[in-house]
Amino acid sequence: MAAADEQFVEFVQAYSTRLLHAAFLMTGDRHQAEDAVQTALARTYAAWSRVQRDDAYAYTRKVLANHVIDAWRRPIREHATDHVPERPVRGDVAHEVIQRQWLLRALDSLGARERTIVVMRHFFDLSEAEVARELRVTVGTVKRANSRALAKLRVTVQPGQTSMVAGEGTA
Amino acid sequence: MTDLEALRRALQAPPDEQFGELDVTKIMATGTRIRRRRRVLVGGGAMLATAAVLVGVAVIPQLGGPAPAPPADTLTTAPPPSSTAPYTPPPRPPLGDVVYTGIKDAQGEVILYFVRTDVPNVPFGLVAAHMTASGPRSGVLNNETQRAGDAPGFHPIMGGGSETGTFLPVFGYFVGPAARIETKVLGKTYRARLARWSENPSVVVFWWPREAVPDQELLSKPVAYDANGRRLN
Repeated sequence: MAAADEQFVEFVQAYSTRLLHAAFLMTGDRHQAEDAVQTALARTYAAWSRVQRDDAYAYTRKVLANHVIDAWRRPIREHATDHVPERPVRGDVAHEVIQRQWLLRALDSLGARERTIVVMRHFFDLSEAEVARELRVTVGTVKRANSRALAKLRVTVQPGQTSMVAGEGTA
Repeated sequence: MTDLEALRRALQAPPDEQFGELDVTKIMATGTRIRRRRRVLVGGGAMLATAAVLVGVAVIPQLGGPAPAPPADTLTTAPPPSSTAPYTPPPRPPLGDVVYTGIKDAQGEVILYFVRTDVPNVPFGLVAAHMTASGPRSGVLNNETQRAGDAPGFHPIMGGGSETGTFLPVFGYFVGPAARIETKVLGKTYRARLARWSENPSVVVFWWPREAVPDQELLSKPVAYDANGRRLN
C-alpha cells in the first residue's frame, strides 16, 4: 500500500469514531450517520493529496456537514412531537439513558441547519467564525441559528458563556 | 431548562448506538472513482477513456474582439508521470458554437464548447477553457466514461478547481429538454446557467458561478426540470 494510502487508513482509524458520533447527532439515525461518514471520507480520499497537507479532519467535517444538510431526510419517528421535553432531573435511576433519549428528541425539534450548527459549535467546539467558514455562511447567521436552536432546546446561556466556549476548541 | 455546559456534556457522551465498522477499502475505491472523474491528465488517445484531459484548443473566434492569436495548444502542462518527455495535447476544434459563460477573471472569460472524442459511443465531450486576450488557452475536457455520451440525463460534472492554473466553474451537460437545472449547496438552491448546443438542441450545457458552487464536493445531486416544471431525473 502506498504511503499516502496508509496515512489515509490511519486517518480513518483515528477519526471515524468521532465523525460517526457527530453524524449520528446530526441525523439521529445510525444508518444515515454511517452513510454520511462514508461519503465524506470517500470525498476526502478523492482529495487526499491536497487536503492531507492542510487539515484533512476539517475538510471531512465540512463535507460531512454539507452532506447532512443537503441530503436531509428527517427520520420518521413514532410519537414525533414539536414539543421539546423537559430535561430529566438528576437522580433518576436510568439517568444517563434518559438523558441521551432526551438529547435525541430535543435535537429532532431542530431544522437541519440548526442541528448541524449545534453539533459544529458544541460537539466539535468550533468557534462561530469557524462554523461560518466551514458552512459558508456569515457569522451572524451562525449566531442567530445557534441562539434559535438553544432557545428551542431550552438551554440557558450564562453571561459570558458563549464567548468562553467560542474559539477555544480544536475539535 | 438546562444550561449550556449540560448540553455540551450530553453531546459528548458516547452514544448507545453500535456503529458498523467502516469499510476503508470500499471508501478508497469510491474515492478513487471520484478522483478519476476530475483528474486532469495529459496523454495520448488512450487517455481519453478517462473523464478529463487537458486539451489544446484550436482557433476560436472571439466575440467582438480582434482576430485571435494562433492556437494556444502548445501551452506547457505537467508531463505524464510515466513519460520522460513533455506531451503536447493536440488541438481539438470546437463542434458547433462556443458558449461564453460571462465568468471572467485575470485569465479571461471562461468558455465551454464541445469537441469530438475518440472514445467508442462517446462522440463528443465538453471542454472548459479560458479565452485570453491573446486567444484561447488549454482547457479541461470532460467526457462520459460510463455510458453513451449522448444518452439522456446528466453526464459527469467537473470543475470547481484550478486544474488549468486558474479557476474553472462547475460545469457539465444534460441530454434532454431541460429548461431549469438546480442544485443545493449547504441547503440553498442554486440555478445553473444554461445554453443549448448549436449542433444538437437536446444537449444542454450548464454551469454555476463560483460564488454559487465553488467546489463540486459541495454539490448535491442536480435536478433538471422541463419548461413545464416537470422533473426530468
